[in-house]
Amino acid sequence: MIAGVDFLRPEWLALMPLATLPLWARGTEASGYPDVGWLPEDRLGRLVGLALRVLSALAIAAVVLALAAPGRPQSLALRTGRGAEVLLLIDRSRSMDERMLPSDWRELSAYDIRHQTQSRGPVKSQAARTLLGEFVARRPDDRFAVSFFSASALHVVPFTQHDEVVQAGITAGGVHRGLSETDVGRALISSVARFENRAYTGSRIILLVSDGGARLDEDTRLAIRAGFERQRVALYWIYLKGFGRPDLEQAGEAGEAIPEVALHRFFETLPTPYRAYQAESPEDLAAAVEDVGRQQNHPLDFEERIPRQDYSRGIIAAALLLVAILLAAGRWQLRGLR
Amino acid sequence: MNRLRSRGTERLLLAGGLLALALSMPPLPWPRASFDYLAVFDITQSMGVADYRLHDKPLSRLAFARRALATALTELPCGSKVGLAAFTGYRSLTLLAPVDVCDHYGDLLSTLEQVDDRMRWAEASEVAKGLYWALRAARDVGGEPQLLFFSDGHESPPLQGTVPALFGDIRQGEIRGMVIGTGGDVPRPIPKQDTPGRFNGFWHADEVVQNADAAPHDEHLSALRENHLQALAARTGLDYLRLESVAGLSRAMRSGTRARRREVPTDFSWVALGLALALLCAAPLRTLIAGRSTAAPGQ
Repeated sequence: MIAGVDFLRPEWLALMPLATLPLWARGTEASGYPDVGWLPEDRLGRLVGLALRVLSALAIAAVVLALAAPGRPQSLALRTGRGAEVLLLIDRSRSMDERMLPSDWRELSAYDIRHQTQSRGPVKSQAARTLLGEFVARRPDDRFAVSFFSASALHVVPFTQHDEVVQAGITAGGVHRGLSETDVGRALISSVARFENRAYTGSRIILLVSDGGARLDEDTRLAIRAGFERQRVALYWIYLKGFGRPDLEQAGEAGEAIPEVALHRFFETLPTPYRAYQAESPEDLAAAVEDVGRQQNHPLDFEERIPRQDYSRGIIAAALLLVAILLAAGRWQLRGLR
Repeated sequence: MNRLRSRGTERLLLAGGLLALALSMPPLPWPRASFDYLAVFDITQSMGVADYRLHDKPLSRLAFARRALATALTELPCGSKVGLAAFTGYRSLTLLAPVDVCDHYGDLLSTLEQVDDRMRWAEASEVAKGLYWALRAARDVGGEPQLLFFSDGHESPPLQGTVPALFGDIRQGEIRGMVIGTGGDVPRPIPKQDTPGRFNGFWHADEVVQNADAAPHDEHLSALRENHLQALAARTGLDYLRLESVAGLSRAMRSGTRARRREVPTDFSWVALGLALALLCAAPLRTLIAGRSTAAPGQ
């Protein structure tokens, strides 16, 4: 217990010697009288006087201590909760700046849809950021990391439980338009490597948010497969399907020629769990994010940060109590003298 | 005697009142100086030139700039916010919106560690445009941070003519901050990276775009191009600082003219406690002094 005490304002402790003042200042009573030698020795009175001096010394000591603001420093405690380690891997390519279907797209005529989408549909990347921000805020037990990708992977926020930092990473993704190229293969390889050298604590997820696919070469496929297997990472792909873009479940041999479908089929061959969510409108996207939240609720060991605990209030209360006793004793003494 | 006593009682009562006040007082908003920055790092290949030394070891421009900022962060007062961005190609990309340097120092540091070659999404190095994009980023990221733009000023391909005009949507002086010249005076070969993060020799004269008009074809060598950066600073209305030491950066970042007054909840209970302490000490101090003065002539 004692080992874990720190002071916010330790310099005040230099005033601690003041607490001895009442012990030095004896003979308060005597000084007012010309001669007290003839009075019988009052042992009880002396004892009470000494007790009062000790009490006021304690009161001074308590106030000095309170000024130094002692407390227990911030600490970490191991806790088991429910949650996951989630790496948000967000596409920052230019196409993410395009729009999705507006919410009321079902009421629009086939002719209007394209035009309306271009004019007033929500921007994909922005809709995704808003929902991911809310998702993160709702899941305080999870640890999040944020990465963007275009031609390279931009690992922004390493795994943290600090919601504010994760949000700052997500916010940064919305400053200005995206970059021109995308290389989802490279991004996945370097993202899965971020789980390396981390204790396996429960469940690991890469939440890929992107609007396009890629036909990966065999080396890349092998590297991705090996990485996911070794790190035991599940992959969730929220595919932001643009207007007129291919459906992931497009059947037949022809599908293999479409990058999005090819990527989806490759993901299905991964040894670890994989789920795809196809989102065409903000509602689809919200439902997908909601579903991801339901999926991953495994027990997770994590260290919880216990904030610094300040002891000053208790000490001030003690000082107050001492002062109250001194006041009461003063009244009692006065009455005794009268 | 009675008067003396009642004074003592008054003092005790007052001290008690002050203690009660200290106990019940909430933190009050109080203006304090803080500093908000968006730090943008040039991550192009020339920043890999190791012309800095730290603890007798060569250190690349980028690594030294990161180290300097990491140290400066520890010296900013709490309540200050810092965000991060990177520049390569022709633009700057925001990586982290500004967060509190005290609450999130650990996270800031680990994000800062990751700002390196491996992030590079394009290979050109159009510093002027990158700086103008950085100004936009500082304007649009929220929270109105000042800009710190760490670069050696090495344009690749080389600029034809003078500094290009500022983007139409930015006014000169609209965003404040510093262009921070990073690098040494001696032109040195640039480490070549085939894939980001993997070094393979140095760039040769015939492998880079050379300046058409200038006689010496030395674009494959890189030194701090201070004149160019100073011209850019003048064009944009930023200040210029040469990164020579870790302490120098930290000092410049804490300059009073860059401070922002921000109301921070501040604990003032120490005022009440201090007064209570004075009152509690008054009585014994008085008797001590009185005891001395009455005792002395009697002896």
